[in-house]
Amino acid sequence: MSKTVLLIEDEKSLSVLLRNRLMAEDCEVLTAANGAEGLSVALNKHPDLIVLDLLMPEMDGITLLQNLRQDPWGKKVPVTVLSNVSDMEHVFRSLNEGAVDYLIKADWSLDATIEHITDRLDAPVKT
Amino acid sequence: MKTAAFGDYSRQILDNLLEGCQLIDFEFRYLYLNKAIIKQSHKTKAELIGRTMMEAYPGIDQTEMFAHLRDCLVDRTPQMMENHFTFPNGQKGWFELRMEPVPQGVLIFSIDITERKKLELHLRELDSLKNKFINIVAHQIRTPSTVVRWSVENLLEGVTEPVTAAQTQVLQAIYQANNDIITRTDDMLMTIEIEEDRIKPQKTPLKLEKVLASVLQRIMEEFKTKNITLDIIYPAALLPAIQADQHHMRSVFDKLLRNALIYTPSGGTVTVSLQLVSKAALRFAVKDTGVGIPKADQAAIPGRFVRASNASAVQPNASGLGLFVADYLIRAHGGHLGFISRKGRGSTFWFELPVKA
Repeated sequence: MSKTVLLIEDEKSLSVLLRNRLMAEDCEVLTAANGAEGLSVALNKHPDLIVLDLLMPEMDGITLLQNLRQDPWGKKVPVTVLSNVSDMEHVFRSLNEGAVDYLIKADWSLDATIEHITDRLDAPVKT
Repeated sequence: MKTAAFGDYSRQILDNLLEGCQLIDFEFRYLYLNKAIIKQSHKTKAELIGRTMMEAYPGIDQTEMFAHLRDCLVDRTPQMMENHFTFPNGQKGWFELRMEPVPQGVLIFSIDITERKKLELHLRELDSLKNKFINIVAHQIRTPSTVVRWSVENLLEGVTEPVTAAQTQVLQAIYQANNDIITRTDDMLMTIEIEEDRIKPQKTPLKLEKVLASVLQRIMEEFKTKNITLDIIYPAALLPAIQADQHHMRSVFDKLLRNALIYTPSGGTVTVSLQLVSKAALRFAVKDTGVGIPKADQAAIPGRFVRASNASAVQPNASGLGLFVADYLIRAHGGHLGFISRKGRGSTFWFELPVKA
């Protein structure tokens, strides 16, 4: 059975690039364009992995993570942060809230990013 | 009593001193005040002379300043301090105080540094604003750079439809230029983190030769394209794993290799080595046959935004942050980075890291 990834990313072009490549890898892909939408999709659809941007309208990624971790299912779902913010404060706060990875988009090729996401789906890290 | 403290001549000098000067006796009474201290005190001479400090400024005996004064009176030791003082009307001032024990009690010299303190505070605010500004700009740059990077990668891999050799060449130029933007943005952000002392290596056991191999694999093609021979001297024996931040180590290898790539002319040779130099240290070195660094510039490297005077002729647009960042990261791992260089002959950049950090 194919696994489901939820992409929470407000930059449309990046979201489309990621979605197309993940679909080519036989993933089911859900997308959300802001934090509030992302949280609601996550809690309704229970994806296998969430790929989360941090700076977004409506609700930022860290607030979303905090809310997600209040939910019995949301407590355990693996979350990979994929952001272009790299200051230590954001990194530490995300990892404290139980993100399993913190990737800086600009430093990762599309290939490597996709590989990383599919690896996570195959062997999820327990949080 | 007030004139008995000094001779007429000394008195005249003290009266007109730009520094505030006051004499306090063993019961904390004001015995003498010069013109400058009257101005600093926000009170008249009559309100102070003969009174105790506690009468003039209720609560003053609870301050840090008073503790210093007491020490000076009792132990007869000179004291120095910066005093943040709140006047009875709520106004605040900063004073630099020097307390000297004298037979009558303590002589306090004070300089009003309120303006300087305000400027310093303002400067710190500006500095933090500058860093915030760069952070925002950098983030704004990174997002479109990522769109360009991933889109070009998509095209180059022929995901959408096959591209011709000529198109590939153009796409590669776009890709390279965009990666330069990303690297420079990274360096700028890293510099701010360094300035604000927020770099904390996330150490894990690391096989340095593996990290190096993966960086080399990515950059090798660029050496070939520029017709530079890349000699790699592998360690004679297996290297011990060290505790280090993988991301930081990648970044240092990448910066040192790229420097060699940029400043070595076509047809040159770059020699890379990684070895155990003692039981306690690993040494990485990159030797190039490049333009070298003029002796006069060597002391300033690696500084922030510092580039050798002959660097611009080779690479007009570079930030001069790469080595600064590399040097900082190596020091954050308990190691050190250095170089030897001769203008026109080439440079060797190296770093050593302790095996047990």
